[in-house]
Amino acid sequence: MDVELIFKVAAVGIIVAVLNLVLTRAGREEQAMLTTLAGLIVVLTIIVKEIANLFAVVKEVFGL
Amino acid sequence: MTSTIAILGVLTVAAAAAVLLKTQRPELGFSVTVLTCVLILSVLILRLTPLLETVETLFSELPLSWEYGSILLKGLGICLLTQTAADSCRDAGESALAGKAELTGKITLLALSVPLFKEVAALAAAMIGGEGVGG
Repeated sequence: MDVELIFKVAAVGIIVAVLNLVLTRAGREEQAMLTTLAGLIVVLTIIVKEIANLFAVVKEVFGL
Repeated sequence: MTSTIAILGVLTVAAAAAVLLKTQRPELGFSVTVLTCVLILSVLILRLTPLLETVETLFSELPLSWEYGSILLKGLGICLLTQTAADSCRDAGESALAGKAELTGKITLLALSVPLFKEVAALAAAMIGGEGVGG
């Protein structure tokens, strides 16, 4: 079980939240939005890999 | 037992992380939830494999073909995947999408059990037809 992945996603979330806060305070709303988008894309890339893994496991075990 | 406790601990920690993230970035909190669900489900299904083999062995003692058992197992797999997808959608506040996920599962299960329906229908028709011809 890759527990590190969960912590990785949580860390990305915290970093993005802090960056968003700082950039918004500095008056750079566009860059704050782009940071959010980049964080979301990174996290989704991790998740999609794991979902594909889950589908492969289910297909193998249940013979779908 | 150790693995069970580890899974429960991971779930609790992930819930804390999701709650922490949801205040600032709801979409990343949702991502933590989905990732945890997927990881735990993979682990659980891998733990289920030996039990399914036992069920298959027990089934082979019955005077039934394994075809029926395999249809049941496929149904179980589809249910697990559908439930996970629907729960994730509902967590994100999209109950309409969750309903569609459940509908997908229902239709797939129906398509999966069509051969069984056909067999029962053929049996019933043979019994009725046999009565009619014999009488």
